[in-house]
Amino acid sequence: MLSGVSFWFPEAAAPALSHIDLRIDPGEMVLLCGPSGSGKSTLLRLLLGLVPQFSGGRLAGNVSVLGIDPTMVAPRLVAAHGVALLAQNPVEGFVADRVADEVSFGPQYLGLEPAEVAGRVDQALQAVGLSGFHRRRLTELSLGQQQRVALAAAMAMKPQVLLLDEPTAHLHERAAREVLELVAELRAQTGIAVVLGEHRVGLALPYIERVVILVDGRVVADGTPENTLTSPFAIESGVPVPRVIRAGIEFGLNPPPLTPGGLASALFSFPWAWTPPPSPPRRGERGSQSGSVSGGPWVRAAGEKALVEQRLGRLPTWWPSHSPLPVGDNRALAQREHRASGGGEGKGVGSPSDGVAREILLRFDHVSFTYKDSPVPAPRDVSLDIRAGEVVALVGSSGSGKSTLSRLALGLLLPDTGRVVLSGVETRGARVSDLAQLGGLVLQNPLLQLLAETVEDELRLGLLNVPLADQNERVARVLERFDLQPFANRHPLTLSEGQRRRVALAATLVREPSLLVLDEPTLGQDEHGRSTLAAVTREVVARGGAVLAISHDPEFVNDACDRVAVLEDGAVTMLVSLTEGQAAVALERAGVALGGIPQASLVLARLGRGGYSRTPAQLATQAARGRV
Amino acid sequence: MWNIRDNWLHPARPQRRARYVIGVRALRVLDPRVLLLWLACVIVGVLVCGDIGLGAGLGTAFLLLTLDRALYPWLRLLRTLAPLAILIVLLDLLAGSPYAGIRTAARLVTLASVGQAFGRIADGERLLAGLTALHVPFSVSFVLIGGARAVPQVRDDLGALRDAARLRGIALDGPPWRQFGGWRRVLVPLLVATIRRGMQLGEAMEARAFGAATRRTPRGALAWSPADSLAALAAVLYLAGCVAGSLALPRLAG
Repeated sequence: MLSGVSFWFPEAAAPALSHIDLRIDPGEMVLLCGPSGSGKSTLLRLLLGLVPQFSGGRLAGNVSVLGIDPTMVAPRLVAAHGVALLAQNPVEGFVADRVADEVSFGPQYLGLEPAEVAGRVDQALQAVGLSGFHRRRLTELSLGQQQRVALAAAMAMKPQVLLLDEPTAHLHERAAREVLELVAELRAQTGIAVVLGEHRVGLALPYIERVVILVDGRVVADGTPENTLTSPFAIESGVPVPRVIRAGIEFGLNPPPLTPGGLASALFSFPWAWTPPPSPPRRGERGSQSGSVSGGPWVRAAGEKALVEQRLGRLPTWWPSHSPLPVGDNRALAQREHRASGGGEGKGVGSPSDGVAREILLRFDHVSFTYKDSPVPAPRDVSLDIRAGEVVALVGSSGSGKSTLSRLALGLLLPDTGRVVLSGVETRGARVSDLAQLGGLVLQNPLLQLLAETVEDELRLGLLNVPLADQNERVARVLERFDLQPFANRHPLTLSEGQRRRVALAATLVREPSLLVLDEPTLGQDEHGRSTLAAVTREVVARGGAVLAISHDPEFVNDACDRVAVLEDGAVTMLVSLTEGQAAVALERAGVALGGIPQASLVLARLGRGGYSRTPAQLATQAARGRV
Repeated sequence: MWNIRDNWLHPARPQRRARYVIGVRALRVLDPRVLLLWLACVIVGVLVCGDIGLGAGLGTAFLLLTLDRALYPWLRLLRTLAPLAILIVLLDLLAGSPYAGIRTAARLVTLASVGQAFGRIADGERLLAGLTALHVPFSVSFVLIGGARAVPQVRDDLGALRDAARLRGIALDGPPWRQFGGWRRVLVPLLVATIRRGMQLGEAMEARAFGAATRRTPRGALAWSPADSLAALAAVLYLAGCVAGSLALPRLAG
């Protein structure tokens, strides 16, 4: 229980937490959400006593967890008392080499008998579905399995309160769902209270019954998902409200549905009609904010109230702008799916769907690569062209070779067989520092990409050969574009995680590469960060560049990408254009997670309203088709 | 109690070293105290028995790494150490004693190779148990093992920072003065990342009740077997051989 809690980090003027009053009962599962820097992690760490005892800082108010004040007792004793914390990246918290040693680490400090420790290890591993993994090395496990080991290690302490700080951040959709499902089932069986800090609100929704929204360290909403996430205030304050709920709000549905199925059925029965826009914008106009939704009034079927101007005029700035898609395009799936292994060029296999032949900026030509300590190649015989003017998403489970492909693209690795050509230059034989003039790569961990002593120097670092005047102009422009002027003279490593990510991206873009490769760009990003990313990709494309984005975020893929390549076991198993009608069906069939709107579109199609939608406007058109 | 279900495992990534050579497997089941004794004997041999100890140590490391099919990681280690070794030789060359420089560099390479070979064989948790059995305070032995565990992580971080520098057009190859500028940019962030990781690990341990009870519950007792006795005897004989050899051949004693 927290009562009037405020907290200031050392030397910080503004409080990280401000006047928090919160009560969490046994057996509750609470979702803690808010924009980046809203205080979620601070609050979770406060409940274990790591804040302020490890962080320093000043605390006001009263905190009580399981009857003790965690700010007055050593965190290890709070942990022993029944509070467990599961961090974002399990690898950074591992203290042992093998699974059983990791899980037993905590119980060994609880003064238990050896038999009790062994029993707890067995129980916890069985609970997370890892029976028999006792002697496996942690490094041999997938990320999802590692997160389960971390969960087992927490559960072996038999906690009464489980604190989860973005436990799914590094996991792809399926693994993330499994971890959350597991947590929910453990809670149901043991009656523990779970506090889940999470950016991926849509994923967590099925498992929680209470949402606490934090903005700037304050609790601004506390209640059921229906009451909190559907409030327009939640969207305005940058809470990562799922696309489906946003769409429901935009459509004026009351209450807005929480799930794609709910949205689809609500639209199915809603008495709307759609008048097609007089002249659809061309593909090249996709950079304009209103490109996808301009023109064409919404009208109620009854005819008495036009809604179109209101709704379309109020579409928020984060809304993706795609060119309108043909609705009801039911051409054969086979025409939409392209096997990259065919390796065609030009307008054939692998070319963008608009049929315009564009310059190939990046070509993987039958590329295979095997790490020295791995028995199998990943990637394996990959052929893929990235052309100017397109954004290609690379999706697939962890270990399928996505990040390796990104390193191959910029020459950080050289293929065992095949060749990689970046803007006409084969990476074999070229220096990485020279290839970096042609393409930019933003890696997952921003901490390991920042090399200079100020943010401004960080941007200048990549412009050493650029004339000073041009350098100044570019740096000023990029600082402004990424809202980094206030931090221009700060050391990059003193910034928050989200700000560091922005600096890393800005430092790459200031070089104006024709090809931008992003490795999990939305990791830990709130809605503002995601919309900035989507806008940046559009800008790169608008100036004739291309983007290759490795992402397990279906909403980002839906918002920002033109094509999706699915990588499984090192091979490209599917390459589809998202602008084509059956893309969602193909991706769903391949087990790839879809964004909320495409999911709703699929449901509508199954209800007899055929078509394919990526944006709310398209979805409404699809829903209204049978009524006009 | 938490019987949920057992059938939803992801396919694990392929095991990196699925097959072990019999010899290395046998070494892995040795009592960790024997491994520590061997390590101590080899290090003492390298440090005090001159070229004979040096050669024996390098041979031992080479043998273990070959049996473990770890020659590639060894070559990577050698490549990493090469600039430092060359620098040592050059400095001693300038001081007028090139052979001393070569010996010092060779000792450095040998000690690192021995550490790598034993590090690959030893299991961290068993080593902890071994050190505890030798009455080393747990906090000390945990820090030692934790430090050893951090080495690959630091190496990976260094690789990532090096890549980041190259991606910004900073050349880390070419003549040494050019390399120096590039590496200077990499080392400070590396230090920061290492400190940050250390702090995260500290928090993770605290969150897992590290030190909450006065006594840590042991898991599985160490059992001393005849094979351990033989291996321990072999270690002592190894060192005795090195000492005897260096005494018998003083010209090679350094």
